[in-house]
Parts: sequence; C-alpha cells; structure tokens
Amino acid sequence: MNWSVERIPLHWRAFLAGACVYLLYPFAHAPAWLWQSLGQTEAESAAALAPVLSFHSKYGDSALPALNAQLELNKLRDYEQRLIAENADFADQDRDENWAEATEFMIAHVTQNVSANTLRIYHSECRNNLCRIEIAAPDGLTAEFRAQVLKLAATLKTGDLEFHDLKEGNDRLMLELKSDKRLKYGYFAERKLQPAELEIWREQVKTWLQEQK
Amino acid sequence: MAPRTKIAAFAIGGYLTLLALDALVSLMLPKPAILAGQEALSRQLLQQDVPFEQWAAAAERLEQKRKLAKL
Repeated sequence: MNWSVERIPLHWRAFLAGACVYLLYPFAHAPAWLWQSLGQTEAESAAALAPVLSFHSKYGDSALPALNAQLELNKLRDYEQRLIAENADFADQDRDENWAEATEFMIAHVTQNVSANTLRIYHSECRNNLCRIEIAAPDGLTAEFRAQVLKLAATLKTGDLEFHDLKEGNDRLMLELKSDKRLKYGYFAERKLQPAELEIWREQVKTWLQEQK
Repeated sequence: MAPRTKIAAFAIGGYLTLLALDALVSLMLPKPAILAGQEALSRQLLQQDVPFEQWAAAAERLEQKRKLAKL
C-alpha cells in the first residue's frame, strides 16, 4: 500500500500548511542567545556576556539604544561582507549593466589603441566589479607575451581596473581585473542593506558618542 | 461550517498552535543568572535574535568608537 499526502484529510493538510507558514515566519521565537545559554554553564554565559555587562555597568541604561543601534549596524556590515564573499568569483557575479558596458568599451579602446593590436582578444566581459579578458596565447605564456599582458594590465590600471587573476587555458589566457567600485546587488539585497532605520541607528550612535566627550 | 471556512480555520489553527507553543517555550527558557536584576539590559537583549558574541562585538565596537572619538 503506497502512502501519499492525499491520504491525509484536507483540513489536516491545511493545519500542517499553517504550521509550516509559522516555521517560515516565526513570530514569538526566543532569541538565539537564550537558546545558546541553555547549552552553556553559568560561567560560560557570564564570560560570553562579559563585554556587554562591562559596557552596561560603565554607561548605564541610557547607552542601551546606542548599543542596539551598533548591533544593527554590525549586522548590516556582516551581511554586506557575506554578499561580497558570495560575489568573489567572476562566475558568481550578476551584471551591473551600466558599469559593465562602459568598462567593456574602455577595455576595447585600450586593447586596440594602447596595446597597438599586438594582443589578440577573443572576448572581454565585465560583470559586477570583475572583468575577464580572453587573450589568444597559441605559444603559451612566453616571457615576451607575459610582458605584453602586464603592459595591458598596467594600462587598464589607470582606468580603475586592478590585476586580479591570470589563468592559462589551452590556447588562451584569462586575465581577470577587479574594480574597487561598490558591488551592485539585487533589489531585495539593496533594500536589506539600506533599511529605513539606517539613519536613525547612525544618529543614535553619533549622539551617544557626542554625549561621552 | 462550510468546507472552505473549515479548511481556513484549520490553517489558522496550525499557525496559532505553533505560535502558542513557541511563545510558551520562549517564556520557559531560563535566563542566565548573571542577568538577574538587570531588567533593562535583559529587555534589550530579548529584542534581538542574535548570539552573545554579536552583542559582545557591538559593545566592543562602541567602546572603540568612543575611544577614537576622544582622540
């Protein structure tokens, strides 16, 4: 006898669906530190909380809004660091259309005019802050060829593109260049990085710092 | 009760059952003894779903900023 979800009465399936919705959007969930303290001894919890307790005993309850604001700012910074790590490789990046198009144009101009067509470019593509240039290298990475590629990289450096990586393929080289521009993220990531409360948090920290002077 | 209303009631019931269980568990979790008597700090900590380390990092960062602001 095969089991299938249809064997569960419809109203109980609805009950489970409601429970699943709660698991996705928990409303009354205990904070992580409370669960963490369950698995720790009192001494371990006290040690983990020591910087917070020391801060609180030194500055009192009036510093708590600033502490909370700093925590929110730290969370945003950690989230952006995670996004940067997720976009570390060319293959992982989405395309920032305006920047990529302008930079590809600049690369085409530089390779044609500055390197005087000594390098044969198969393809160049830019994404979010990385560009990849495929250069024909039928004889591999000879000393003369390496000098030409380095000259190209040095010229592109003046256009805000730093050398990032050089990979050898069968008959080609992949030159990767990186810009220090801010990465452009999707709609939801950008919204999460720029919440409406961001200015309030910054102001709370700033005000508290001024009060401490 | 119409079938559709019954199904909706069960879905809401599922949500509320888990909400009640979660709230109950949250209330029953013991706070570390070191927070006893620190009502304002406890209330503040309860508002953020983060581990101790993130609170500690925020306190240390704010202290660093204060020292830098004094220079």
